[in-house]
Amino acid sequence: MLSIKNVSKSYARGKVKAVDDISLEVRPGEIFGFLGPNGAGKTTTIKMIAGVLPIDSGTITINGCDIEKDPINAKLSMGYVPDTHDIYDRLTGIEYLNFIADVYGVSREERKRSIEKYLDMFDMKQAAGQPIKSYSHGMKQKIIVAGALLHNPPLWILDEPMTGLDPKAAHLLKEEMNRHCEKGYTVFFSTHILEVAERLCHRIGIINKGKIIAVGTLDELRSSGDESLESIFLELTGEGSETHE
Amino acid sequence: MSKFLSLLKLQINSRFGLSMARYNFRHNRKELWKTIGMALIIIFALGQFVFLYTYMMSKLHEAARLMNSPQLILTMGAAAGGLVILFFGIFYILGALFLARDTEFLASLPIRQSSVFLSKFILVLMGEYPIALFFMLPPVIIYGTGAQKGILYYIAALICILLLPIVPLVISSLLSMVLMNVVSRSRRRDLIIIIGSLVLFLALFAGQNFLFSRIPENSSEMELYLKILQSRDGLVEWSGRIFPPSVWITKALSHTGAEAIKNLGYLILLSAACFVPVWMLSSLIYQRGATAQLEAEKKTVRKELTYKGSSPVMVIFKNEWKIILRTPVYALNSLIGIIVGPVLMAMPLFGGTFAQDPDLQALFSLIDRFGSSSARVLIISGVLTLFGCFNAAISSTYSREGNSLWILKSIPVKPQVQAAGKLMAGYSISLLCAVATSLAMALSLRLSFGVWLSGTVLSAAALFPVCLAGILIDIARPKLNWNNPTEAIKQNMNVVLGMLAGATVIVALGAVSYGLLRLQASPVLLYGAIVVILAALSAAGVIALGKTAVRVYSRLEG
Repeated sequence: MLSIKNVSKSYARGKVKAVDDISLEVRPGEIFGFLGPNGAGKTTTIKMIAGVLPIDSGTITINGCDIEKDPINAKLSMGYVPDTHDIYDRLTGIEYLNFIADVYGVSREERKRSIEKYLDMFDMKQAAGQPIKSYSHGMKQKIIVAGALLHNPPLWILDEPMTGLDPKAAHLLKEEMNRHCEKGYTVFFSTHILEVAERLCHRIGIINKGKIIAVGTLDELRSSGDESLESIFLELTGEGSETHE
Repeated sequence: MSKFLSLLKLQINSRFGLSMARYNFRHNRKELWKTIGMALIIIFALGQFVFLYTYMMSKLHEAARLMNSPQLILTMGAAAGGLVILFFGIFYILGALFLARDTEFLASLPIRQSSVFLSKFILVLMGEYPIALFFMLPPVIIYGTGAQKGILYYIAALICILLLPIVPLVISSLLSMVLMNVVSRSRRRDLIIIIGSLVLFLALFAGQNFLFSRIPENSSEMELYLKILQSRDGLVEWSGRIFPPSVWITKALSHTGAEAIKNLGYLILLSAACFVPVWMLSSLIYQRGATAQLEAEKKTVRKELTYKGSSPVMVIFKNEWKIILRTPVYALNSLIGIIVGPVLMAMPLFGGTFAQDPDLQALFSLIDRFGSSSARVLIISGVLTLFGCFNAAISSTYSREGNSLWILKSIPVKPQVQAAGKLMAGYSISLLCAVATSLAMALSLRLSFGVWLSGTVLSAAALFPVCLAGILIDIARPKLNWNNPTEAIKQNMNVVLGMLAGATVIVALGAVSYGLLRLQASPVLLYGAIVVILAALSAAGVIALGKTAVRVYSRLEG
């Protein structure tokens, strides 16, 4: 479903690589958690997958389509939730969702069904007719998530999707992620909430300083005993030994 | 709806706040009336400029009719509009196409980059129509009424006005795309955007002057003048060299039948011929340039960390400067006066045709006429103050905070102190502009030290209340909700109002000075009156700013 091969990226062709020769295969029916410390290269990788940033070297294919050679078809196969809430504040929620449905070619019946489903799920039906400007942080996140999922893409790319969501919405989104995978589709998401990754993900990838330092199921990542994901993460990224005052 | 139309609808809706207006109409009438009131104030404020321009055009029409070329006003209107759009279009295009906040969102959607380019180009084009209308409508009506033209003339005029901004914007788009592709390959991105666009601005300026200076080969100057005066469109063609499409517009509107259609056809063809290749090029290189801003500037050089402290006013002052210098759209719109003022005033030093600009010659001859009298100092200071007014930083200082306003509201620094820091930063930009322009003026006009100093000091004093008016306008009603920094500074009516307030101060001081000069008042009385007026305005402004800052801080929402 998602294939990343030898992908590298350095900003402004600098010497420091933000992403350094990473390779990953994310399979259909899988929830893949992408973890890493701040500045490790998670968002850069996700932006390259989403076709937002150009790739310096390597290839990324989504559902068989190369994101650089066939970007339109690759993007049609995914729903992307960015880590920012930069959204058109002066539109209403429903106008935003209708725009997304237009650009993804969602039919009239399908968009009605899908938009209603997500508005109900996130308890946003009342707010949908109001300008996004009046929304809270969490409401903006809900409308962005709804927009990313309404065309029912086989691959979800979610960058910190739980940020700003209330516990109920976060729980519903996690359930939706599980249902999506049950249909044989894929979820690739980044998070700093290790408990969520631990409970939700089939496999986990950890990136540090631009390199993938570990990939596998939680059991595969455990070197010995019954370590928590937090311990594994701190051990692998070398953050556990640091002392902060 | 097709992807492109949906995208265009979204951009127009968001840019012009149509949904917000509809929502306010239904649910928030108070906000709607505020917007309508503001629009009326702006229309009224702009009305005086429309009146002045129309008056100038009607006088020019009378003069041109004596030379048997009444259609010259169409050339002048089209050329002026085209050049303003050409020179400043580059900043609009950079802001809307490359430095917008929705770049990441649009890049992630399954839409061709040429469609994104086209939708944004149309958006900028729509934003330029008020400028095209401002410059074209008065001459079109004056000439049309004088020549008793029919409905076809007005239809053709509408087409010409719609086409007028296309060529200048296409040139700006092409230059911007090339610049942003260079930027995407460099490390110091923001710096290169700022320097690059200023260089492009100056290159356009020089290129246009070169175009204007061309004299056809194989003809002496006398032959040339005879040719100009003998031919029906001689004067139009000669004056229209400054912006060639203006000649076609003039001919399309002043001729009839095949000649009119032919010239309109030229205009349409040129617009299409310019636009289509640039649009096709955009499908290859637009996104690369647009997403360049999303990539952080990673520097390999480690900077020494400093922990120096400053007073609250200085912190705000320094912070304003840092953000302006590090945000290309802010830097370009705030600091452009520091470049344009001196370049314009130094044009005679470049010699040749650069010194032949008729407006500049008129200004210089006006200044020269007064020798070293007080009037000369006043005219110089008026011109310097006018350049200092073209400072978008001061009247967008709170708007630029956007959704970061909470920082100002949450820090334990009095609103008055914050306002003082912001005022100082904006005023320092106006001051820099006035001083740089005065130095260029001193060189090109060979001003004596005394005249230069008096003019500069007087303009510095006049700029203080002007800046106070600008910051008061912005703090009273800041535009805090914006999708990209361009909206905060370039598409902010507070900036226009601030400049209009500045122009009003200059006109009022000019009127007082003119009256006193007519009464043959002594220099002591003349300068004394001006200083008293400026001091009173400044004191009133400072008190108003302090009170307004305290009053509005509690209700401001970022």
